[in-house]
Amino acid sequence: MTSKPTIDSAAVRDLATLLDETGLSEIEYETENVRIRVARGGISGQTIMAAPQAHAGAAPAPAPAAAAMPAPAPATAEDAAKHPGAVTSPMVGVLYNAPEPGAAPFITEGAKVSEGQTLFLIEAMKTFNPVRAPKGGTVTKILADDAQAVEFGEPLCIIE
Amino acid sequence: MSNVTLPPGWRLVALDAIDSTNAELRRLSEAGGGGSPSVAGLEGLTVTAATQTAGRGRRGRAWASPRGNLSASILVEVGGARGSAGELSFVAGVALHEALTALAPGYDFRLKWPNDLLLRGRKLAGMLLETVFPAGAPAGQGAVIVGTGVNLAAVPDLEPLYPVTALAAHGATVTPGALLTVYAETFAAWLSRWRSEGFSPVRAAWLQAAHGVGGPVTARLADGNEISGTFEALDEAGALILRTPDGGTCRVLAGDVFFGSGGGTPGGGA
Repeated sequence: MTSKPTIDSAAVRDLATLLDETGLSEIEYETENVRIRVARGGISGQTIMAAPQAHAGAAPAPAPAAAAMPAPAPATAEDAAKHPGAVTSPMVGVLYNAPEPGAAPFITEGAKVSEGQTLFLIEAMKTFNPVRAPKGGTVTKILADDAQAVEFGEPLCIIE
Repeated sequence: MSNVTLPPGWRLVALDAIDSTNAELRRLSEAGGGGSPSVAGLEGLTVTAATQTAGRGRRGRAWASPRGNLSASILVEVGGARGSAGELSFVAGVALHEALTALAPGYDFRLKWPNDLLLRGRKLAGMLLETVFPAGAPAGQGAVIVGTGVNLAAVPDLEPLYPVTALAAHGATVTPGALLTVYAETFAAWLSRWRSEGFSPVRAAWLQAAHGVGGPVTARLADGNEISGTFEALDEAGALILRTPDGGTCRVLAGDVFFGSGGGTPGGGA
């Protein structure tokens, strides 16, 4: 695995094969550069995720959630998580970019935000958690999609 | 609301009408006791209203609160651990189940994942939990607002997603004040147990009172996808483990859950 922003599809394919052969529901494979987790999902067969390691020392994230999670390109997400302006997910759950379906999103790229402003909502077990801006600034990048599962420590947006 | 007794240290703010008891409790807690951005010391702060003018459910859905039903929001301190805040959904659900069973013995109340309360398959109560981590509050200071609505007297005319009912329709009379007194007591007891023993006893009690474990279930996820299969288990964090017909499993953290083969009537009337 290199730091090129490409997914090692051969490795993912090997792990998926292994998953089928062993009957396991989830396999995680990690090198110093990348972590690949292959897990069975129920929507479209298998949920395949390739995500870089989040914060060193962060609490281990539980198994991936059922909502299909689009895999960010490893290098991009890795860079984003290390970005000094990255706002990361405080918990595992489902992310919403608006207070309710159809409402205007909390933030858009290019928007100015003030400290404490709500950026996203994350739901788990019917508990709703506002993710607030740790500082004021401009939202330069939104990294997480609406209505998708997020892991602990996953970068959600960048404020500069 | 009259004749309410709360556990030691809890405080009651009883209102006649408010937009939403959760919203009012959030305003009170974010204002802090003395204007400081802190929720410390606010555990047990409880807001009730005889009626809510803008009661809410999941994802902005309206929740009707006619007079005679219970609308109550209780603040619980959770320190800095947001991840465990979801466990409170089950602590509250188990406590409400115990309280209603004590006040209306002989009725088979069941919990629907994660914490709606059903009577004969119809929704009798709903909850909405929201975390409060005030900006500028010291690290490790956070709270959860546990909002509970129980249809004691009247069947709300606003709940398009699931069939609803009220306790009075089944011949039992319980006042909001009587329920709040017992619910606050069972909630305080389960909170204490959760803090000293962890999620395990809460999970066990929830499973005892749960509806549909082992049976057919459909989960409608936030992105609109629906998964159908068997409600296989409640995992260690409270997620619903759904086994799909192809033998795989899904871990559901959030969504609308429907029981019965064919998934009940998802979308029906919604």
